[in-house]
Amino acid sequence: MNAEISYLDNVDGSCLYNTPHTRVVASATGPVEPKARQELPTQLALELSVRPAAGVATTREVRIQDSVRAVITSILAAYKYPRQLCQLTLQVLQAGESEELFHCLELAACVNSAVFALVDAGVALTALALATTVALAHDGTATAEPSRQQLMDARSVHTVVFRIVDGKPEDILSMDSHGDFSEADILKVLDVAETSAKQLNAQFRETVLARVNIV
Amino acid sequence: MSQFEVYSPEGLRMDGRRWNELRRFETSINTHSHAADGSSYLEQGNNKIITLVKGPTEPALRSQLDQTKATLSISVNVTKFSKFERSKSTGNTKNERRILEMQTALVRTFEKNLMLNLYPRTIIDIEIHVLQQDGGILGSLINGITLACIDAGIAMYDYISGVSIGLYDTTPLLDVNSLEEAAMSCVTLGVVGKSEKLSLLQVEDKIPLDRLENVLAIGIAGAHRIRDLMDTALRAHAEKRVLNASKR
Amino acid sequence: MAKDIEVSTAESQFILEALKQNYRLDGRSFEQFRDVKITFGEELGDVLVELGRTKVHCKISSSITEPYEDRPFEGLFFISTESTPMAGPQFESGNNTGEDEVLISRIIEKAVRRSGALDIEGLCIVAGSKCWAVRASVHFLDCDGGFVDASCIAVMTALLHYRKPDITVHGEKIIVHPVDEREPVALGILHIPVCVTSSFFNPVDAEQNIKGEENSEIVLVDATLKEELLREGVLTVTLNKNREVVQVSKAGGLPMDAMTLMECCHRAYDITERITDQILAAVKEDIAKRDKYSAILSSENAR
Repeated sequence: MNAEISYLDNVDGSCLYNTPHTRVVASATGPVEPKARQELPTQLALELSVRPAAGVATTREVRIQDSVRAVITSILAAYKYPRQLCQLTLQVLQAGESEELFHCLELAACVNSAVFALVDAGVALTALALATTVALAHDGTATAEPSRQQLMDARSVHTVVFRIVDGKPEDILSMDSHGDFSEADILKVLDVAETSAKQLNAQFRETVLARVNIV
Repeated sequence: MSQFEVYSPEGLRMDGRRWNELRRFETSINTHSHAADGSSYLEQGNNKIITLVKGPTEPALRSQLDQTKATLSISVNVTKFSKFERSKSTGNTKNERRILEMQTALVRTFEKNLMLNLYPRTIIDIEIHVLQQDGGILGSLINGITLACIDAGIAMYDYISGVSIGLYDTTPLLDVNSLEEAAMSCVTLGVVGKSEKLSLLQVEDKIPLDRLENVLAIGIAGAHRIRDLMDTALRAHAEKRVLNASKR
Repeated sequence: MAKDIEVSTAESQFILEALKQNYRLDGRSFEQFRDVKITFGEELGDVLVELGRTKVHCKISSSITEPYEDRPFEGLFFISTESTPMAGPQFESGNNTGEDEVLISRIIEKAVRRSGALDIEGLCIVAGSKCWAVRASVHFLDCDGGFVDASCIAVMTALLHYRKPDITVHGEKIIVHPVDEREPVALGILHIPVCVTSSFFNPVDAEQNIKGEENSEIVLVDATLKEELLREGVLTVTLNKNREVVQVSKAGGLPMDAMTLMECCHRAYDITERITDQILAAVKEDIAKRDKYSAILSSENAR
């Protein structure tokens, strides 16, 4: 993983998020004045859109969008900004997976880049959320951050989003699983995912620290 | 259209014009005296256009209120029966990108020519109905608006006259009709008064860079002739009105 | 566009006064086009173009579909340009009927699609029943002016860079060869249009501009966002290396002398020539790099 924070000039927070094959640009603008219909009297409204690398947004993107929204809503300190709006735009530049079959790598990249962008924008969060994808092969080996081929060969794929509290993964915010798997498999997947999330968290801190030091 | 000869070796076009001849240009002014503050009906060749100017009036929406100048809004209604073949598109043609683009171009053309700063906190609403079209429509719209605005008595710096010029091989053809427009690349100009200043310039197809200057020169000359035609028509109309007024 | 953002009076006066004294805020001369940076992604037809701080991403995708009934010998080619708040607060997501959005997409459409830059007859597979549909998705990432110019470069570079899978036709049956099985084939590009935008400023009052003889208007090539917000007129010229004017758009705005506009066109040609060369060189270099890898791979396989 590698992330370039403050990638864009015209928004409050942004991030170019690269994994070996997936690239997403995230932008966060907020808190700003909402349109009347978006306004919530007690908390921050979130406008989120996920845009695909090629073509126009379909139900597939709406699905990713809803998953990301669920995660982001649960970590935003929304009560701090009543009657305000935060606009999050996630533009996939490269899917890195067969778009007709999978969406897990994009989902993970979208969640992570959105969190980076929010941190960059200085929007208050109650915790961090980090997503990781795990593929379970037919022989039972679990691989975090799988490649395109590993995804194709997998028996099941899982995207797990952890809430990070005090520098370690504390609870699960979302888990998106597809394929054929058992209860034992899930536990194994969570194990691998947790290790991966810890690594991600370390990298995340490094990136943000580097950014803060420049400023 | 291969059975037609766009430009014959004798130098005649499909409708019998020479290369530098304009189409028939007939106008009536103040055609809708009851419905609008200024109106015109223009026939430029087979283009038939009604233009209504309403305003300056109090804007209906707050967003249209500008403290420093009048807001200009132009809506173009191209009727479905305006072409030889009835338009098949369902729904509103107003949201077509081509129409939106034309509207924006017209607003930006006239924003700089009308003295909008004289009418702050008002709106000037221009409504155009295209009853029939036969090529060079944007130019005709410009002429229609100019006439209607003058009729409405809105202060403006000068006439703006619009015309389209086609380039057939190396021969520029002034004021193209729709058959010519389809057969060659065309340039549309909006010229300010008798000057060489262009308010609007649009080229939508390939034209050799080195021919463009020639085409512009022909176009400007043609636009100046249109300005004179408009001027004559307006003066004739004004004389008639003055005469009628003195009779009363 | 640009309804929500405004330049403060003090800043706009400063910028205009500087222009009158022949200075631009970024130190460029009036005729200078910003440097273009072209970066390719991992996949073919994935291009990021940076024009100063403006960033535009373009991605080409293709699929096989049915041609339009009235054009059986032609493939399909779409360009989608949608703006999101990512590029700046002046853009709204899902609203593409704003004045500037429409003008941007129409100009790109005219410059690339209507001018026949892509050979769409070459996309026909079986007349009347199967053809390629090529889609160029333009993503506006960051806006610092010159969206049209940057988008046009991005679309053309991406089209030149893209390779579609090779196919074999057996009667009505089509075999699509995976990329690793057979070398994918390039699209047929007939010419490379390049857009150059000039912005006009009026240092005198409106009357002098319309009636005066001096032609004292200021002409800037490739305006930045602030300059775009302050300009009074704009001219976008699209040319190609064959000295053809592909498209010209001056949709109203400050009336300008015809000769000045011609000068803009000629100046644009020099810029076009340079950018065309840059695009071709960048594509060639990147494709060669990819070839080198495949050469290494194939020699390993041979052993």
